[in-house]
Amino acid sequence: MVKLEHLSFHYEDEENICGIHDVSFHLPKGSCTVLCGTSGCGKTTLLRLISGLIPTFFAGEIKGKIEVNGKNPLEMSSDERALTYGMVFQDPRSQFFMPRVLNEIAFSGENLGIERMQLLHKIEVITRQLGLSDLMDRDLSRLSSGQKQKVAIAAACLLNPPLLILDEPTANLDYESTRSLIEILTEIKKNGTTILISEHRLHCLLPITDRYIYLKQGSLAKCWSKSDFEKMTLEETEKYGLRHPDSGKNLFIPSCRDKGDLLVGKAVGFHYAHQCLVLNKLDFSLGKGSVVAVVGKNGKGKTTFGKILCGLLKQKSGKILYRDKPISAAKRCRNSYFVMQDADYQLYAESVGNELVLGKKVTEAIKEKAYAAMALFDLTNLKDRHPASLSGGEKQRVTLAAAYCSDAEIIVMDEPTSGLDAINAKRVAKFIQLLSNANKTVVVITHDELLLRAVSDSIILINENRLLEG
Amino acid sequence: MQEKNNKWTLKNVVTLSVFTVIIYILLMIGMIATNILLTPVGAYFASPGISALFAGPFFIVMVNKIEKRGVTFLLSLISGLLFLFMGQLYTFLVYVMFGILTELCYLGKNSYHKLVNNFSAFFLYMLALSAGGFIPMILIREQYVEWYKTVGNAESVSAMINVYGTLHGVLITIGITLVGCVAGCLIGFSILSRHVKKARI
Amino acid sequence: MMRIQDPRITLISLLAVTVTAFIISSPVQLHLLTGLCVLYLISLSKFKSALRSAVIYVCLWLLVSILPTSVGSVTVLLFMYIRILPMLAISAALISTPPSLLMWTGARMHLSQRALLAMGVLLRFFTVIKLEMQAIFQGIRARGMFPHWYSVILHPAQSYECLVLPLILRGLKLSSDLTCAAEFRGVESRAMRTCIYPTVCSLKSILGTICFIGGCIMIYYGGYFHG
Repeated sequence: MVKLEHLSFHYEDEENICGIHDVSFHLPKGSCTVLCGTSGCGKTTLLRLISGLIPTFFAGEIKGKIEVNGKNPLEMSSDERALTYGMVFQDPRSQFFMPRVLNEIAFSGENLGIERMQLLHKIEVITRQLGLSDLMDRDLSRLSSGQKQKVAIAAACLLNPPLLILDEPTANLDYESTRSLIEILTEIKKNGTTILISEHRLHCLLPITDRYIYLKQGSLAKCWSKSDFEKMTLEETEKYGLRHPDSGKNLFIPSCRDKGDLLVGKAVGFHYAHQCLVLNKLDFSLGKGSVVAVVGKNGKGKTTFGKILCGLLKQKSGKILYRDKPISAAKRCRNSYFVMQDADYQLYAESVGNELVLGKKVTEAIKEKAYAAMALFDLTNLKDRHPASLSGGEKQRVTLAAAYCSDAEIIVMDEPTSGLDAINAKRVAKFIQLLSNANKTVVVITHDELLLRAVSDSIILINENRLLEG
Repeated sequence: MQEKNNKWTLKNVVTLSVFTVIIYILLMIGMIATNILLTPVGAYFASPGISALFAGPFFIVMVNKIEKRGVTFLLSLISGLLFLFMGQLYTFLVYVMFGILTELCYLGKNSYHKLVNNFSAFFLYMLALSAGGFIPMILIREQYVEWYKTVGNAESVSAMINVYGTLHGVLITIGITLVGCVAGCLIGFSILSRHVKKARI
Repeated sequence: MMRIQDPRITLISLLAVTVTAFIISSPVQLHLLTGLCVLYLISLSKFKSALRSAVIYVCLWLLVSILPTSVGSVTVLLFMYIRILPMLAISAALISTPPSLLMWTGARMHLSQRALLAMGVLLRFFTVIKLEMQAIFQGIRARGMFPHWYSVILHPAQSYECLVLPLILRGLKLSSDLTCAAEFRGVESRAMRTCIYPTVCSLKSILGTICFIGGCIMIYYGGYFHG
């Protein structure tokens, strides 16, 4: 199905992005292959080459041969490309063209001129297969991450393409949504579709994977069969910088915890306008300097809870007390820092150094703190780089360093390790510990078991709008 | 950078669409905000200039990224069509006319990257917002006033004449628009070099 | 699946009402034109839009009649809205049409694939931009950049950059991502576009539109002969 022979590529004018060096492999029809490796090893570049996005959208020099379904991707017409590839990107938001689920799924078929009744039949088949029948008339912006991912897969698989490519599909998914995704991919694989996935969370894909291909600095360094990969121990996996189900087990670093509660909530409730209850009568307490993980299924109110803690949203009912005194949302906002999942919304300066001192009067003390933060968060060699030119993991470090430099007592982080490999995820755990050592209370909203194990003093489970302290 | 060719790619079309929506929404927000804060008279004078201050960077970045023949005409055409769907037939015609004029600002090599060319085009684009008011007063004053009287009371007609039909009114509008466009373009070029080019987006 | 009136018919009605609103010469004609548009919306089963248009129209006229003469400039604005209300009513009917049907209509009108894609992205992006701006505002607040409401006024340059820059960068990123996604959705296919919605170009719709245009003509000439 996919054949690569001595494929090499380097980006034009991009010294910081890894290319591909002499990669050769063959993906048999109907197989499922997972590309793995540390961040920046070339997985995304390889996907772009196989899908034909390079060199159409990313300039550079290609050497070697690529064949997909017997043809060079660059020689395919628009119709052939739509019929050959199903592509699911990491962020479903930026690949939707239509406002509603039904229209989004039908989009490719309408573009290719498929007759109406035939198209409706195809939509019915794929939505039944993926369990989307109840969502057809829903607004895409109101769906959970898992539902959006399903819609993206349905849209990609509508025309039954022989090759389905997924770029980090589980990055934003909870455990149940991930399991649901695996079931869907199992069904798709049964139809004879060849599946190629780029992922960091590798073991959850074992049920469907035939082979794992490991890339290192753009070269194919290792290839494991499913059984070989399954047998790998924690140490062996971590040697390659990959995640393992037991990763983070020995990493727990006790946090520095002051006595007494910093923030206490009593019967806190919230709902969005014209919607049902999101949070219902929650009681919680956060100790100063502690690290608290907030877990729960997608769409159950974790981010909403985080925003209420930070004062970005005002609770509709209940009280929140700061050192035993009621505190308004505006005051909580001044005393908190919310690290969003997408760092692009929180980076404003033209260099990393300036980003850390943004909004402050630059004194010697502030400069020293910024330099110290850069050293602690491994940003010193990136000081003059533009934040928008950094990788996802590097941007995350910049926002964490900015949180460290801020005067906020409470820092809430929304999925800080989403899309990160094991090495960078452990780094984030270490950085969280640094924040805790600086006497900041850290609340981490996460699905990542590695992070949960590595760093949290306590876990808060939000389930069915209720908060269960664990 | 030399223009490679004038063939529009898929990316150019998508970039044009995305940025046109942003620019249009900023124009609308500017109009509404100035109507509330400065009264409709103040809004007439100031809204193109204030909207230009915010829309300028988006215009500069968009033109710089697309750098193809027709970019500003299409921006004007789409903006005009959006006004047409709000019932503003006359505004649509003005935008089409000014759109053609904006294209004339980009004659010459490397014009999509020069401040003067971009400023001229942007100024014409923003002027189209208020030109729908004072152009008929200049060209067909009596007929326009008669047309305005058909649905309007005496006070609104005299307010309209004071705003659209006096030399000082027109000059104030053009002046504020000019200042807003200069500021918007300079900020746009600054953002382009400090951020967009530096980050290699 | 519900049948939807062919958007080309609605577009013809929109053009008719736009021209008529431009050339009428009395408030009575405008009342009649607005009434006709409300009836048109009712015929399309868009009852909420019809009611909303009628209520807003009446409220605008009431406002104009009770406002004191010293606010002449405000009445300029109100009369402008009164004049465009019939067009806004018909436009609302057009905009509520599913985007894929609008794109299909564009294909039937021989617009190029690129123009159709631009139309699709434009329609999609109006809702996306709202979410993006909300996320940007939240990002600014989340970083504690402007802790008090007056901080924005005290630091205008920084406020400006914090608002404009993320929007520019997100706009560029979204353009890039959407383009990559578009490559795999057949947007450049030369095949004649289809649509999942059954459209109605029935005798009833055509007669209805002819009656609507006839009504516009009668309203214009009624005023012409009366004046």
